[in-house]
Amino acid sequence: MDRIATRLSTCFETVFPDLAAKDIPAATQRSVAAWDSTAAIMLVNVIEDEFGIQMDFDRLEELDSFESICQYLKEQQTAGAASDGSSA
Amino acid sequence: MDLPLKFHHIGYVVPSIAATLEGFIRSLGAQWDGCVFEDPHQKVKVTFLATRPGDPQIELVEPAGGDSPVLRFLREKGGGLHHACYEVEDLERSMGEFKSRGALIARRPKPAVAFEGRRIAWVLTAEKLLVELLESRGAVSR
Repeated sequence: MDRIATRLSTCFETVFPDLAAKDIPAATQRSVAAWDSTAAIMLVNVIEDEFGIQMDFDRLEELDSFESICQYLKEQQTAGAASDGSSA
Repeated sequence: MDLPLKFHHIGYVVPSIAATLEGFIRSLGAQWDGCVFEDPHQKVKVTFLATRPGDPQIELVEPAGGDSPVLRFLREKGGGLHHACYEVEDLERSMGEFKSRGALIARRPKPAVAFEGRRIAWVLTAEKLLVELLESRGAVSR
């Protein structure tokens, strides 16, 4: 598990305390009963605090799994690095 | 709270405004102005019902599109009471105030078609009350 995935995993542990650590990488909205619309909002807020970013709430519907959120965070990191580079 | 909240409306999610409107009008003896707004930013259709002039209204909310934020509520709960809306002078300051009291940010400010482009934002209180914050008419947009 890379660093982003590890940090994201801690966010999942916070929002879904009943979810076993081994099940987090494969977690999806369908597989986690507690992942309702309220939990989705909590998850975004916890992730924003952890990563120091502002997520696009309009993409909540597609960010429906650990994997898709991890990919989103990697894209944000890449975009942020590119932006930093262009402004240097 | 430092910032006085003015109760504006409650939101009630329905699968179809057209199919439920008459029932609400009949049950509440409400007035309807005939306006249905489709909002591409919020991805909903909304209409408002009034009982007495000046009193808070009931907003019927219908999902508009497969990625509407209320579609999930409709799927999970089958619709129903969804949120309370308060009008505030300073949207960002109110959001900060709610956050300092344990609320989560549920959506950041965006203009709303139903309110002449005034911005709305969403917070979820610690008690799981979804609150819509509506920028008052005199507010200066940021």
